[in-house]
Amino acid sequence: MIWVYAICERPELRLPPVRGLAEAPLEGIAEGALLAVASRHEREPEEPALDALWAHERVIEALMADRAVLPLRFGTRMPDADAVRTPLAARREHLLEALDRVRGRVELAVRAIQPEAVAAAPAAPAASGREYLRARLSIRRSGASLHEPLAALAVAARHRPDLAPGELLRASYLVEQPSVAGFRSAVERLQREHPEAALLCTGPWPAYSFVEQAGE
Amino acid sequence: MSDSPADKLLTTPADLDPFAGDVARLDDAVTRRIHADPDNVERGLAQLVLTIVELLRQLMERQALRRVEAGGLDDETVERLGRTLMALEARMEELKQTFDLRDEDLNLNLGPLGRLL
Amino acid sequence: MSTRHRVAAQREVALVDLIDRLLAGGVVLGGDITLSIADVNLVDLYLRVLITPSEELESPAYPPGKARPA
Repeated sequence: MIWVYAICERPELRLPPVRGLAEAPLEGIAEGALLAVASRHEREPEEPALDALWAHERVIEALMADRAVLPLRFGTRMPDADAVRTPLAARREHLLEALDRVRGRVELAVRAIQPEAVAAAPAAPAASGREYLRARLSIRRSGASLHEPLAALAVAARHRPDLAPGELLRASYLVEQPSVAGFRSAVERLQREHPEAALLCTGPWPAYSFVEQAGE
Repeated sequence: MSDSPADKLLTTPADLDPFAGDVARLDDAVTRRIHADPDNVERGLAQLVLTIVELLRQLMERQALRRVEAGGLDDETVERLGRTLMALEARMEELKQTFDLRDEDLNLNLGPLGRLL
Repeated sequence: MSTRHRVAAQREVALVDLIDRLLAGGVVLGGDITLSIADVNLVDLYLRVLITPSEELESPAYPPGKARPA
């Protein structure tokens, strides 16, 4: 089977000198201006799951050094090269647009929690419908007060509505590469302004959350 | 971009523990993805159905919250709205337990749909 | 927090964010992932009917992709 890591551009460029899962060599499968980057395997990779995860990530990051890259969801297997080319051809316009959208940009992840709320587990059920709504609204507003200033610094933003108890925000921001340092400073500033919350920012990541147009 | 996972942390709160995960459970989730089990069709279907139900529940909750925020609803309506949402959430938890699905099992395979929230 | 504990926590934290993205994000090509794209497309159609256009946009539209000079 073929394990696929990414769809990128510039098929004429050399592939980076990294290996994929199970130390397999990388292979490019070109379809017009698009290039799928993959590796062939006789059987499912047997390395530890988390090693495989980072291997997948490393391939994508290595590709990002010299071109726009759309990361593939982890676990994408195809039977052969033609099976890869078919969806590439079918979704050519979408994929080219997506590459334009992520070129020169990276994803930054932000999570925010209320440390007291996380510690106070398990959460008691709300006493009334009104109380439930009040609590939900309060979380929503706190999350928004953190999300909005950060979204303003980003080219695009997504936030997850399904938050765990004590969580205020779990979001992704698409940011121009040179703006990463400024974004990080903004998160640090928000943390100082909101001592009741704990903020975490990780990245830069490939633009996993921005491969589809919002609302598409 | 980086050589080690720790390089990915751009800002860090004083206490990282609430942000760390259950490594065993994460390993499980990744392992299941690597060895996508084609025999487990039932689980896959339950996953699909519950993900959609959860999506709808979240949409409804968001609409309800917006409505409440907009104001003008009488106390009884607000109370009823809240109780309905609470009941939906509790039901969702029961369903997840029945099918042994966790939050991270839902929303895994929706592709473009996951972005609708 | 001891240094070793902290380093381990850092790795886990990064792992959580990576997994959140790698398993639920990225391009889906169809093929061997548990739920086929065909099934999802039907549902997709149905849900679009329910959802109003104003729901999704998080931020002002960014400039449609312009190719950057190499």
